[in-house]
Amino acid sequence: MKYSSFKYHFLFLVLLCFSFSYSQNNSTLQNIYKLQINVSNSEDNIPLRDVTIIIDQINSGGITDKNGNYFIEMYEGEYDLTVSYLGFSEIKKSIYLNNDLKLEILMEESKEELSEVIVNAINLNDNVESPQMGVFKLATRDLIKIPSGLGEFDVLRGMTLLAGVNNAGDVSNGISVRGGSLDQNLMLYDQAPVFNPTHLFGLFSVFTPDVISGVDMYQANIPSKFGGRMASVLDIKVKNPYTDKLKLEGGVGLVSSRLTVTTPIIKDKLLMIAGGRAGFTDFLFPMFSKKLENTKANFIDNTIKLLYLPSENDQISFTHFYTTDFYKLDLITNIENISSSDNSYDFSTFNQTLSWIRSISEKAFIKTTLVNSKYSPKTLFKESEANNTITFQSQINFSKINSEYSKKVNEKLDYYIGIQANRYNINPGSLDPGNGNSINPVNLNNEISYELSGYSNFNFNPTEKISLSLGLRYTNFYLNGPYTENQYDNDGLIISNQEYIDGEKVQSYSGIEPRLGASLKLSDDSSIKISYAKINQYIQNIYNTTTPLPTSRWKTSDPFILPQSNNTYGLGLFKNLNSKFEFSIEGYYRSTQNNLTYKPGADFFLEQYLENDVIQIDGRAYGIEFSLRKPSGRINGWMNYTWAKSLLKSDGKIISETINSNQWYDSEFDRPHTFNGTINFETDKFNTWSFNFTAQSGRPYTVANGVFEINDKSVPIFLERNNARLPFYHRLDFSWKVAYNKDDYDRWRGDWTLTIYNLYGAKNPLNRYYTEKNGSQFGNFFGKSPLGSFNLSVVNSVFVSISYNFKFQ
Amino acid sequence: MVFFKYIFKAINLFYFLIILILFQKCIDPTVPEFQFAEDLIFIDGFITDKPKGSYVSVKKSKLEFGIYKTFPIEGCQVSFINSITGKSVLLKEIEGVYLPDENFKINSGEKWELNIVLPSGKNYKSFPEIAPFNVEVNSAKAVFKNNVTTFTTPSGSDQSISGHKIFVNFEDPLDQENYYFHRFRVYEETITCLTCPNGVYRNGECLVLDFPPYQRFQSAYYLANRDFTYGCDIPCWDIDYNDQTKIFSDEFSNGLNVESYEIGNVPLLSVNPFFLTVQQFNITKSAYNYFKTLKDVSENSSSLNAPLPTALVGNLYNPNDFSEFVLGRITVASESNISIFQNRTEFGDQAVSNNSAYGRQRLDPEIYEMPLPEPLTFFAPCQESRFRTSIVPEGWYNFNQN
Repeated sequence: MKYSSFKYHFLFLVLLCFSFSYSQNNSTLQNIYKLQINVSNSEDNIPLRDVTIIIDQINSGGITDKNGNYFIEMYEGEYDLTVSYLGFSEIKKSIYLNNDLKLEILMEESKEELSEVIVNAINLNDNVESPQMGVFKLATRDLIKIPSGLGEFDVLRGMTLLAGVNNAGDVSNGISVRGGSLDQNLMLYDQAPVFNPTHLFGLFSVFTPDVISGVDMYQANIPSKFGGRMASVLDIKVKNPYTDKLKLEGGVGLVSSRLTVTTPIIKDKLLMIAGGRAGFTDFLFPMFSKKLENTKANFIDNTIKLLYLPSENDQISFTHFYTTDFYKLDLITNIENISSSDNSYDFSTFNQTLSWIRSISEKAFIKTTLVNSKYSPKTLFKESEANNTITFQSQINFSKINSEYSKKVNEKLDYYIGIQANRYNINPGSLDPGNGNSINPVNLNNEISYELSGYSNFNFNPTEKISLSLGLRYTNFYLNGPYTENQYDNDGLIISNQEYIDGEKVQSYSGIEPRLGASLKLSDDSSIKISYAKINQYIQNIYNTTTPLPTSRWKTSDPFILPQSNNTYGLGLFKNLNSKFEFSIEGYYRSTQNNLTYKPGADFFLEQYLENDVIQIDGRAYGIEFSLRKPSGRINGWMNYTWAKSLLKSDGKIISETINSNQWYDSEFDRPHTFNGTINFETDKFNTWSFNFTAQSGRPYTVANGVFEINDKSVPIFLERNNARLPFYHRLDFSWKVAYNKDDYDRWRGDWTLTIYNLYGAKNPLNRYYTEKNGSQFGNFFGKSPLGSFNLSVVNSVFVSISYNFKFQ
Repeated sequence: MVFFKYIFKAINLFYFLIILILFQKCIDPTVPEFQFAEDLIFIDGFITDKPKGSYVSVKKSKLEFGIYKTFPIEGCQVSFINSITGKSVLLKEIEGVYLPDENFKINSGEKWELNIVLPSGKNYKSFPEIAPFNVEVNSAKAVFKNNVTTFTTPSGSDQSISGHKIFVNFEDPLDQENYYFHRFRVYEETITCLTCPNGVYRNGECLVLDFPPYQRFQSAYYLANRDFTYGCDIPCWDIDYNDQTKIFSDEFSNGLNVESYEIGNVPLLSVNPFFLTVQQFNITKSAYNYFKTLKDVSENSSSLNAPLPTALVGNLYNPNDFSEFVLGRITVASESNISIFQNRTEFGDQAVSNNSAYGRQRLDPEIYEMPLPEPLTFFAPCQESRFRTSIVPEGWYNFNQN
């Protein structure tokens, strides 16, 4: 480090001497002019300091100052300049100096100097994973700028700042896309599905931050290679460890700490990235509030990816992902019929992805993937009057094999064609009484089902102005035994049943799913796009709470619960302004069938026959999204406004299956107005200031239509669902990142990030509920109301955190 | 190793790490919102296999000058009908509640339904329901525990209260699905029968004191913020009920001996002994689901995983309009009782009445030197109500003498 610095200073002095000598020799011949060179990063226009400038003819040069400037006075003449800087592509430039001249030079970051084998591997992968139309990409460098709660870089919170994406509140076990429910999004982490994407009851997402290379979100024109979820696909990609040397990065914080290692194991053959994050700081909670004495909240997530390059044409990768949470909160209701003093939640995800990409020619590839995903939520009930723990456990075992051939025929046509087989093995739940004798062991039948799909997609540009994306997916779903199919009388009582043995086919569904997209280029910087997609969904998460718990029941379709399906139409106008801003307006309409909702009094816990507790209803969602984005420059960011509706409608014939008199009503995810704004000020190479403001209509909730005294209690009476709305949600977040390394050649680079979440302490209620008026509690606050009412908020104050992040390479 | 050098560097920097998590109360009172519907009818009742156990109440909602009120509907024709034999039992209206004859009781296995005709002529019925077989409650016990509940003071702060947790034991039969509903009554002998806020008890009512100007200074000295209390003129018992909806299904414990099942608590508001009667009802699955919904909307609504509100629809319908929402339920049940008597003198130092103003046993009688209207009064009658009785609880003396 010091040696390098000395070397450059020495070089500068030598060059200066030569320059002086040269200028003395020519001083009498020509006029002297000033040359000013300003060097900055082409990506963000931030001035680059210490850039080396060499002027061949005078054997002289120098380095830029902190503002990226370099000055020199030279005689009239022709000069060849060489501008170089570590990590950036070298620039050579010829000038003729016959006047004072100011030269602006933009330098581009260069790819690392990697071996040819690895560069080939990068190109191979890029070709296979080429972007589809209608995809919203967020690179890691964008995500890390977004201020987030607890100072944690968070994929899902970043997503909620995009147009059309919301969550269920400050704690939300997933995201809602264009008014869809949380389970209507397919979340893939290196192609393996993640069934519970959040830590700590939804405070932040489980994906190991430092290993993520980027996130693609498909919410309109979902490519035919994806299927099974109606609203969106969130494709989170793990970095490929293309490296020739050891790299470390990580961070230290009171909430969690993390470390990632990227290293070659066998040079140019076997490469690895391994990252992990852990949070074990719940012992601090009682310091902040006595009410948090009984709260436990620990978590771990880690990702390991191995990349094997057996030949120039083959690339084999293996990704392992593990996450686990353990928490205990007083704010969670106990389970009925299990007598316990407290409940704890313990859940884990264990995913593996094995992928092989083979290049058949320069333009044709075969990619084959094997996936295994296991999600195991557990609830631990500590018995009230005994030293015993009762354990409830459920499990999803998901397996997938997928093979896809893709080819770029020419500049106008490329296509892919593939087959996919999924297997779901769901254990809906088992109850282990431990060493107690208060309950019996329970073990519900596993639900085993298969989803077989074939798909193809053609991207075709018939003219310079028109491009088409035509996709088709065909799915076949089978539910196999063991299964008990009941027959019910008019009162809902079981009159007979049919037993299916292990492996016997119970029910099958199939469907053709067209996916269409078209773009008409209006000019060099504007276009109109239309899209259509039909998708069937055979698995759903069943819950009757504001946000699903990690232990909420997952259920595949069966003879009673029909697959959900939708038809989504989109129309958009896209325009780039002055090459700096990207502007778009997108409209969409989506009709859905067989959305699941709960019946009054539904209880899904260890219920064998769920058909008695749910009904299936129609839905529709529509909206217009306005989006403005400035991706580069010292000031960059985006803002969007969405007007949208998300509605549901029952068609019940009896009272218990009728919701809001079978009229359209607002779904839990209806947010008519949403505004998001994210702005980053990169004042210099050391400081980045980011602000994020979000405001949206409050969540629909249900207010009582009456109050009656029942068993000496004042009980609210509800006749409708979602007939009111919580107050408008709004929040401003701020982060300030300070990179303190002055020397760009440091192998160790660190930064401090200060995050202030909810800067002005907005109290945004997650829920509002009624209580009995308890004597003189809260004085006369509730007035003559027959009931009291409270707002439950999770983040209702300023939340400040500081973390230290580092990189070593 | 360079790597470890930098790790140590990071650890040094860790000293500068701070996190300020300014947790405030995450629950705040708010002005309740309603969309009141007028003329809602709510029907609630039990048909049981114990005399005096069956009743029906019929209530209606109304908005009076913008204020929501409910009131019992008088003049209804209410009858229980045996769905098999067709036998009809007419109920009489007593203080807003419809009651059958004192000796009326049903038997397990019988099928009963309700028929109501309102004064307006509207007719409501319940779907027939079979009385489940009775499971006897074997025993009950009261166990003293610290912090059984919290009491909210007038200033809004929570104060923990010790008390007795109530547990029952019963043997769940193996050969059937069983659903249980528990409630209890607590009798506690009281010495105060009346409190007159800022006033005195004269001629059967509380009078607010109003003194002539020349006596106001003197009266203010004695009477400022004074609530006189009056002893009971005969032995009198306060009656309390459990404040939680307790339901239990044997879905996870079929055929087991259910031991130490907690059904509620009796806070230590005084050191007087209490006499407690547990009612264990065997109910149908449909009734269990109804009470589960009732519990969800009234008690389970404040948690992070609160069930979303839903309509409290039971087994009632309008035979002339099946689309009408009829609120409430008639529950056909079999009942088993058990009583316990609990002394509390040993826990006296933890009783709320001993160290704060929330106890119910504090006497603040009239005193002769006070400028009060004649005659000074020290006792008030024990007014019969749902929460007070002068009738000695059945079994009280048996336990008390033991």
